[in-house]
Amino acid sequence: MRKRVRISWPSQLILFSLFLLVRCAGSQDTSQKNIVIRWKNNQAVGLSMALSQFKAHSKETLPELLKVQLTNSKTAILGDYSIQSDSVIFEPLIPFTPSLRYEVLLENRLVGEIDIPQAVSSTTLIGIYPSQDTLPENLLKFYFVFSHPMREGHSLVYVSLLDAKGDTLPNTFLNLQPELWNAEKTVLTLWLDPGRIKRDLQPNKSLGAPLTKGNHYTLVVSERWPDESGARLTQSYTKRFVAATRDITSPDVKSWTIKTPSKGTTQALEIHVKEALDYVLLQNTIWIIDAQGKTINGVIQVSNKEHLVDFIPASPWLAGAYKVQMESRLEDLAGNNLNRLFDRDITDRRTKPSQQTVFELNYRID
Amino acid sequence: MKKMFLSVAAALSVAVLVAYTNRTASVMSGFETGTPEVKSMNALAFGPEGVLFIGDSKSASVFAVDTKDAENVANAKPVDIKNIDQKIAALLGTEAKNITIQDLAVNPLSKKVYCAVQAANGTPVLFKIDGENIQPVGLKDVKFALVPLNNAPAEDAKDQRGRPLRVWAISDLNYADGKVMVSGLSNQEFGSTFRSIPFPFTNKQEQSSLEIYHAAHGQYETNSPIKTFTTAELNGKKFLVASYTCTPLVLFPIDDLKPGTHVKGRTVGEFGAGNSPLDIITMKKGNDLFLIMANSDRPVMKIKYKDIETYEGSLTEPIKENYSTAGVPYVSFPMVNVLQLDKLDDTQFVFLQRRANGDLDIRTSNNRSL
Repeated sequence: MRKRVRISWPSQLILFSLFLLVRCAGSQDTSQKNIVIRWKNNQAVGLSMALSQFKAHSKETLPELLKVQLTNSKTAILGDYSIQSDSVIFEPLIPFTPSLRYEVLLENRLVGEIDIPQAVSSTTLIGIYPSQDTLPENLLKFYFVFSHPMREGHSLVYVSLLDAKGDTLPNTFLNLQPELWNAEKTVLTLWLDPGRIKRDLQPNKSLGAPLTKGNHYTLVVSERWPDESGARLTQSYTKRFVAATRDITSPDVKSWTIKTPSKGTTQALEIHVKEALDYVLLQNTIWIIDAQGKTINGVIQVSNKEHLVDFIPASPWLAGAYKVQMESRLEDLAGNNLNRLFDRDITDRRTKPSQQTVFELNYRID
Repeated sequence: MKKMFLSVAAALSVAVLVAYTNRTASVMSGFETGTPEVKSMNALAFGPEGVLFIGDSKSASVFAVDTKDAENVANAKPVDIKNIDQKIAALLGTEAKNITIQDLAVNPLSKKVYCAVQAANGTPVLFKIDGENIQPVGLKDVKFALVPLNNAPAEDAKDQRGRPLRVWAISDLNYADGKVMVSGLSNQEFGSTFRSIPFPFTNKQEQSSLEIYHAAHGQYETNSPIKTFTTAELNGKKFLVASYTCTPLVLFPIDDLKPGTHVKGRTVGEFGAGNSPLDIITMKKGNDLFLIMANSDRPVMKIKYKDIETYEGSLTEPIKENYSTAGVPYVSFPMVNVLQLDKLDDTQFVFLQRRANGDLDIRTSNNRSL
């Protein structure tokens, strides 16, 4: 028969009070004084531990004796130890993860524990491009522009396309790995599955095109999408649009109009493109050249639902002849660029690709 | 006589010098020592002398790094690590859901498995797996070289004016016959780009930029991006064997891949819609060469190179029935959810597999399965 030991209630109270005292004293020592999180760009990139708590050991031996690990793990975290004035610094290979608890051990004895606080939401979705609400049914891509760097790798979990009834449309986007983020991880390019857009390819035959003319759609971006620090977006976002006629022609630069600025000013040169073109390529493929062939420094701004390109020069305009140069890789919303169609019928001689790499428009400032 | 003696001595000296130079000439002679600024590790491949190529989409570059791991081991021990993602995550102080294994590559000399990992915040970390042992591979103070993947120096100059740089998302990277080959896609314009870069890298930037058309379906051609590729010799001629999303297998003669040319490939197989190839390797058993292909939504497939050699045609008609296949015959292995493959030695290959219970394991298969 097992013997039960009972502790009287006053003794229980005293023990509980003692436990609380030790626990509070411990947490104050470790999280506020002896072990401090080092932050960089909202990420916990290291721990700073006061040398005073390791008086019994020479500081040279500390990197060998110290160990940082996840609580409930026995694996030492990889990283670098260094001594900086009165502290020993541990920098893990990757930042500590928000909401996880870590412990520091010296010769396998617990020195202290530290909780990495949960990341706070502050990242917003600044824009979805194309920004029009009527898009060709052979639309090729969306750009998502964020205020801060985002987490890569699982974007399709957080983006969905709904039909007019609110049902999610499957297999709309191409699952590319690596994903097409810019270097700063603030702009994501998402392709509607090109295999479904291109006529007669297997996915097009079996699933049809992702969009159908006349149908209404809602693009939904979930607030659960984590940014680089692991925090969610501040809210969810939607973009409603309707699919229109298939775009089967290349952009025609000859139809563009130019509004010239006055000499001696830094007014914008306005380039009115006839149809909405690719938001990112508009910023990257247009150059202003002077009569000597020199590129004019300045800034490109795209507005009016991707119909207007403003070029603002860094220095005032001088009188003379200029050229607007467009690289042939500039695309419309359906991926047709200046010299070839995205989905070309090779039996149609009229759509034979051109080899021209640069297109030009001339203008003068007097 | 003296003149003759001098001539012989001079000739001997030249011979000795040439022999010495040949003996010591290394592909790494142009490498610098330092810390390469690798921003991402999207694809790995080994070259000669233990040189590891790292395809870095974020900095649109390929780095060549001296691993100092060049001791030749003839036969590799099988690698079998359960829950590799959890083990790597613990070493990094996080949970498995916060890391991604980007690529595996076996050093053909040491037979050690190198593994590129990306943390949730984008930090790339390189590991070396030797048996059960998982070690980080530091890139501080190493010998390295790099080659940028952007088109022309003029383009870079323009980009300095604050316009967003084009990212070059690398889908696959391989080394063969003195060339680093890279397939990829830009984050701006649509197209398939394939580059063949001579190694050792030169200042001349002799890289070829190619748009590849695979006229798979008669009337409409496409230049969609290559997902994964390898090289092979078929009937005495070298070929690029490339696979695309949804899942044509296309051959391109390597001799035809010249700068600025548009090369039309020959589609020899269609392995089903709704599927994407993930990795391709070549294995040998006896006198037979096999293509082993891992897929997103189909089992690992085995294709005999002899069948590719004898397949004369090019698929030009759309497949009538949904999800059916056409072209060269293939055999499906009883292996599903294989994400990465690489040849471990002449008789074994390693693979990264998501098991039915959700575990992510590195395993080894021998050529009995071939």
